[in-house]
Amino acid sequence: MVRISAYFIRRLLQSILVIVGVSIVVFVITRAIGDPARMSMPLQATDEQVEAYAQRMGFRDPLPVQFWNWAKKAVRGDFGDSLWQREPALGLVLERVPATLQLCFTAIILALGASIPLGILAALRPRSWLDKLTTSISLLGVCIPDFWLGLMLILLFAVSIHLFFTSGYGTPRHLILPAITLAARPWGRITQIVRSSMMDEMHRTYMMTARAKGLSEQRVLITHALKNASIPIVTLAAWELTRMLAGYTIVVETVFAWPGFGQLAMHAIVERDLTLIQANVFVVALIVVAMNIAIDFIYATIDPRVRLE
Amino acid sequence: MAEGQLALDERAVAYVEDPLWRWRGLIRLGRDLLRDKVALVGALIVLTVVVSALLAPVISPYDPTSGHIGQRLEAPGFVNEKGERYILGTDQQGRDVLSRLIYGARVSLMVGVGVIAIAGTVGTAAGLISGYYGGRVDDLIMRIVDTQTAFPGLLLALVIITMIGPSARNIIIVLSINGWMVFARITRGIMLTIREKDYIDAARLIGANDFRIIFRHAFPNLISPTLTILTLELARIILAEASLSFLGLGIQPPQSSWGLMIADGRDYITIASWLVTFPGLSIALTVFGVMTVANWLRTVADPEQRVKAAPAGTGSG
Repeated sequence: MVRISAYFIRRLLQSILVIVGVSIVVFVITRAIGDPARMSMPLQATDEQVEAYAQRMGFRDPLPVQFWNWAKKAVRGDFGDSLWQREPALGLVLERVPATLQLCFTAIILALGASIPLGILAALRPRSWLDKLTTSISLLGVCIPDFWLGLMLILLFAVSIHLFFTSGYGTPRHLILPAITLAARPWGRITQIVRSSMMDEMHRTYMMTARAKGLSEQRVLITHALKNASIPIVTLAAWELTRMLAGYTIVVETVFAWPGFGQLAMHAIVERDLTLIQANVFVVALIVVAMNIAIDFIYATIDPRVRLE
Repeated sequence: MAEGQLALDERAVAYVEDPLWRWRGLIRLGRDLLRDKVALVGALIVLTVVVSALLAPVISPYDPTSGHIGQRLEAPGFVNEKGERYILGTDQQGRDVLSRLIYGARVSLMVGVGVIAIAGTVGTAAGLISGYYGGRVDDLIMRIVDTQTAFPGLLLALVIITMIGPSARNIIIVLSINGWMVFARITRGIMLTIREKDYIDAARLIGANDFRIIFRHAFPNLISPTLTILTLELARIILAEASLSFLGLGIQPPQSSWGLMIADGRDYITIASWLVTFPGLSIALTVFGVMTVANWLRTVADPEQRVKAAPAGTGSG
């Protein structure tokens, strides 16, 4: 227990370092490169108007002073109003979190559900046609650009046979195409890792022992081999989920007009809404840091050899 | 004993006198490649893309940036009244899709090679220093690597691009900032094991300085694993450039890029699907080719992998 809490404190400090680091980077990028006042004012604004706005927003203060003023408010969750929506930026981002979480978790569940059985079957019969097929299509999943896959799925299922909706949010018929698109890459990578780690376990001596005890083949595979192979699988799945949440949903959300924070980030970027961008990156950094801590704990739970120190 | 030594020397001389001795390694690699069908297909795809990129002005049938508005959105195989054939059709501005694809290969490879050159050099140097010196330097570099790995990379890349403006050069900068950590980690890991080897001690004993030890004695051990990572990263970066260009934050019109072509063709997908199909296939095939080659490189470098030979994309991000 003592060890866990020491670990937790160290991990927490590291997370704070990451969040502060991300905030500083985003702050410096948005304030120091180019003129934030010029960027957020209409194109026809005169130099005097831009200057007056910059003075009012404090854009002409020294950068450290600006950062301090910004950080004082940011720790209380006040990132300022979105320049584009005229509403508190953090609220706008948080509103979008459930949609992205729903999309990402559906995608990772789809990916795991489709890759584990296929990977096991391929590992059982190496070099069979099923193995070759699995290896090839899992490689395809990794190679195909997600935005293109999304467009192809729209063309096939939404335009040609009107089975699903091409954009929007709310029902499973809206969710299925973006989730499949997002799941393709993790599915490909997880299938490969299931196959190779199951092949590793298959020849271990404990497998012979389990069979010699007279356990059913199914039981040997699931409770012995898969359990031991699960560590790399869970690690990769958690890592892929983190990657999605860390901004890779932007593309898929843009293609399917999915109202998550990825789509919001893209809007903020197109509208040059600096406060909204800052709030968005902050929330994403928070989610990523939380995911990383969660991964460590899952790791320690499934692998008794791992100690959190 | 002495006779045995003599026979060995003679064999060594015969080996060196063979005019092809320098190329033996390469010849063996070539034979190996011919035997592995999938890797061969991958290598041929990569070769085709590289040749298209290099010879774009020579082999592309038309100008990729100008077209005739009178012949817009013509289907693949279209022949106009002048008898000019458009094998892959024309786009919404009447430009030849094939020519744009060929020039797109140029952009993809230029960005890819640019990024792995910068990120690979910076990352490998950081890893070498980190692994060789250890201690505080190692702590500092690895802390930076860890912190940056936990950053939302793509999102930050988008933000930076927005501020500095989208262009091929800026994409290379942004993706390099995003990609050096993999190289630092791998290099450091290998360096840590090499550091303990006897030949490094021997080099130090005869008075070699740090620079010489790192580059003459340690570096050659890094070439093979780094080559695999470089290739995998190339695949990842080709996809990243396509995504950025698709989002409108990459290559700008009238220049041609596969991601940009898909973004432009998106509005016409129901009436002219070839505008989206062909660039997408180009990206997927190129990435497939590069990954297969990376995979093959890995099996060549590590024969134990051969048994499993699972084509895996282990590139991060």
